[in-house]
Amino acid sequence: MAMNLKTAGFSMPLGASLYPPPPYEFRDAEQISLCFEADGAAITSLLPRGLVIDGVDGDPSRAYCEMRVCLYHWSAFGPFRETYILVRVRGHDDRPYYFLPLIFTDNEAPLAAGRELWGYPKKLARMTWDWGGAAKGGAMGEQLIFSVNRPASTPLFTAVFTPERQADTSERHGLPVVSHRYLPPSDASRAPAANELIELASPKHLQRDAAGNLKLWAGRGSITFHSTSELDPWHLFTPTLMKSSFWQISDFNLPYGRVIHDYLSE
Amino acid sequence: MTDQPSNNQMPPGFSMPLGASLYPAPPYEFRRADQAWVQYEANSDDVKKLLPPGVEPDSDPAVCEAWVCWYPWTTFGPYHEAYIMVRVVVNGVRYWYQPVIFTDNEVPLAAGREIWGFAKKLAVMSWDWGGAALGGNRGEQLLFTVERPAGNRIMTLTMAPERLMDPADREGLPVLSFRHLPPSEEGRKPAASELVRLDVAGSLYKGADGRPEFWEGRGSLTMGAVSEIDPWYLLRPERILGTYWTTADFGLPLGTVVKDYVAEGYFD
Repeated sequence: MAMNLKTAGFSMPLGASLYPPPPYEFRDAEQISLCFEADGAAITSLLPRGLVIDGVDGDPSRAYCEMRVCLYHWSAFGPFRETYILVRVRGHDDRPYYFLPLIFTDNEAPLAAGRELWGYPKKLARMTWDWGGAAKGGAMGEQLIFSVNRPASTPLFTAVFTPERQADTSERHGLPVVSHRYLPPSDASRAPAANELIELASPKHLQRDAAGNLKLWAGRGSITFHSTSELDPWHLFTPTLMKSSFWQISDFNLPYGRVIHDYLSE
Repeated sequence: MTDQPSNNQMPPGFSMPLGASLYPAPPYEFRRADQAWVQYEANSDDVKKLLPPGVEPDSDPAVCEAWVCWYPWTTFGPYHEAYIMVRVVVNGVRYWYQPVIFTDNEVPLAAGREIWGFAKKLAVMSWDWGGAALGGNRGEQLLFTVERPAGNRIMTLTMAPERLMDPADREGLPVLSFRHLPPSEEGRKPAASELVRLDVAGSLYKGADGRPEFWEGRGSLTMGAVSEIDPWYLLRPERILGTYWTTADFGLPLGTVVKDYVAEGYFD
């Protein structure tokens, strides 16, 4: 008997899905947010139609960006590392969002689920989460070094963070994250399977330490881009001004998104 | 305060992320592709568990092929691949339908899933003559192993090439896959749920004597883990019909949709 399409699974291959339906749970998620300004004109080349830079002090040449570097110790996809860029934009509805133009992972299931479900345009990369560069022969130290190579042994960028003080949640300003889900056509006579902006709202629940303090730390950070790549143009986000840096440990889950703009229906 | 500019353009590209596409538009070219396969009979009732509506084996027992591939050069880079095909009929047309496939390279994983619905997962595979990489001697049998995750054997194929055969003796059929892309928002229909036909044109290499490199021989096919996650065991062989090996160049173009489950109301 052939499969029932409504019950045979959620993702390909039906009957042996690579990933189930959302939500996807994350526990003990370590994330560092490096907040900075970058050149808005360069970044605009990666924005889908209708999104515009919501610049610092209203100046679109001063794009407000965050780089996140992540170590997910446990998730429903298994453990993995991830890094992505968020840039503050205004949408077709003139609301502010964080748009996610670039993202790397090192695990197959979140690669496919991210791309197919929300349009998180993930690629695989080699990443390390390393305190003090110990894995490279250094001593353990106060600086976390997150290095990103794609392909292997080709450094694209390095992020560094030193935790210095307990931070307050009022120092962080969340916005809904928007991504561009673009799935090409299978047939030259057809339209893309999807061409839409997806909003994902996923509040993170900060863990607490033994004293009851939220696991949210502020400190100093840096980002260094090593390669000018047409394939992976992360260098377009070279910081012009570092603003602040945070480290947090949280639990959260990723649900379905919400379509906020459908280019196919324009 | 500076005037807010408008943005009327999409970043260029064919795949996500636009502006830095993971893969360009087809066709994707392959050179000196080594492919070996075992044709066999399998239990039709088990095979049907992996077939979408309207796709039926064209015989009972079902005829399947287990393909193992080493692509030393492609526009995606080099990689291994393994997949099963079932000979089916859809609306009176016969195809090789592909229910399961593994690769070990990121780009064909994403392109295969997103363009044609080749339902790829990453696995650990090796193309090894005689099991030499596993500590054996070099030998007459190609040994292709498939593990997912590493250490969990899903399939083993061996093949000993014995004689050249005439490519005209091989019945060519188009390949059929099932592209199913979920909705981004709860309550919506899938972005795609369709059968995609792919017609692949290729050219066999020729030996110095001018004969095409299309080899026939003896083989074996062993399905390993009984896995709910990767149920290749449902496609286990009951009788081997033939074993083959070719070296070829080919390109993969866009496909043709032959059945659209969303348009036919399967998700209403």
